[in-house]
Amino acid sequence: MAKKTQSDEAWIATVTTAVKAFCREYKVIYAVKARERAASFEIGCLHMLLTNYEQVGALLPMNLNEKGEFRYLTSPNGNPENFSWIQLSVNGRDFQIRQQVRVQSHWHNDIAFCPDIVVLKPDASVQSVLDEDFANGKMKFFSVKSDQVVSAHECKSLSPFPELLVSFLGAFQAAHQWYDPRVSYEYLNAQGIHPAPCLFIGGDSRPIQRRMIKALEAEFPINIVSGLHFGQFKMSRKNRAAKYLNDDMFAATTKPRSARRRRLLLPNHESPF
Amino acid sequence: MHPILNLLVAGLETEEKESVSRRVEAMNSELEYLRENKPKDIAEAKKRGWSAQKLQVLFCLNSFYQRILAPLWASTTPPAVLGSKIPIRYGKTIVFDAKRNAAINKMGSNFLQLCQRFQIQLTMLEAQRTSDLIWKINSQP
Repeated sequence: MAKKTQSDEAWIATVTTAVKAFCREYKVIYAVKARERAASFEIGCLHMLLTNYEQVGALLPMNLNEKGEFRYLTSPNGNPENFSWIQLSVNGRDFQIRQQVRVQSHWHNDIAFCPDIVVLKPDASVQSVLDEDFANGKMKFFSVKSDQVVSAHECKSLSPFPELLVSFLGAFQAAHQWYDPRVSYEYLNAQGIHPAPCLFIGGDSRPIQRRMIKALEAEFPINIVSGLHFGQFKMSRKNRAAKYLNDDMFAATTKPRSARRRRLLLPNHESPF
Repeated sequence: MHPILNLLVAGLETEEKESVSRRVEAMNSELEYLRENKPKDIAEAKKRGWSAQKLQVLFCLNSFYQRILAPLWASTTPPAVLGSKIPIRYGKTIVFDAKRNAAINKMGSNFLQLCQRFQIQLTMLEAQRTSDLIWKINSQP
């Protein structure tokens, strides 16, 4: 409870003095460019994801630069082979965690977009082509097929306004061939290795938005991680707040699959849209 | 603009200044709404030492924390494998490493200490709306 012995004016004057001192000492640290703040948020989301994966597997940063730094790919225009990525080793298989790798959708080859973070199957490879419609054919167009994607995650330092939430559903469906709304399948398993595709949101949510998030999470195999503080709680494996994918979808074994699963996993199954 | 907000956003890019200011304005508008529609809650907060004048200061600190400090702080709790022992180079100029993490952690801790000196708890900085804030104030023992 605030002290009542001090007048409001005196309290405000004391706060003002303290804030002035704080700003003088730390402005150089917090008054960074908006791009750096957004980058910091994105790195924070990556940390949450990696911290989660550390509980189930071994992480190894790959392709570091000559100084031993992790070279973060910040744009889909960069050649992923020139940047660092993280190898996730679990149960004898090596998945890849990469940033800003363009995903070419199973819906159509011309549908390609760039999630902030992707987790790729062990055998995934990034393709590069020259396309006259991209940078006048002077730069390579890098992408990975959506059938190689385990999970694609988005980081938005924004409030969870409804249009942002539903637009994530488009990205989710376009980037994950394993998901087919026509097929009834157990996409989730609480003991799974991989967190379901996440939309990380930095901004604050209001009660009506929280209801929408809850409803979307009930309908789709996704996590919507809203708010930085709650995010760290939700992405901790200890409290089981997040959803995890069914590992069977990414199993390396060649055990026979049901006809329904075979249809689901076919590379070019008929689009429902 | 509130003088304290003015101090906090000086030096920020225009877009970020506006973002923090809009949030403070929204909290002030909600306060007005609550004064008209839930006067008992506001009276209870005042009884507990939180007048409208002081709440306005709290809105500034809350918004600055959420929009400016918290996103920076988000990157300072790296997993064991990356972001501390192995720095992350983001573009040409930004490096996320142990030194940066330490500086931001110190800043964040000092901001929380500053707030605590004025009876502002972390949960009050984390409140997302004025009504949440009033509820937190009125729920304190």
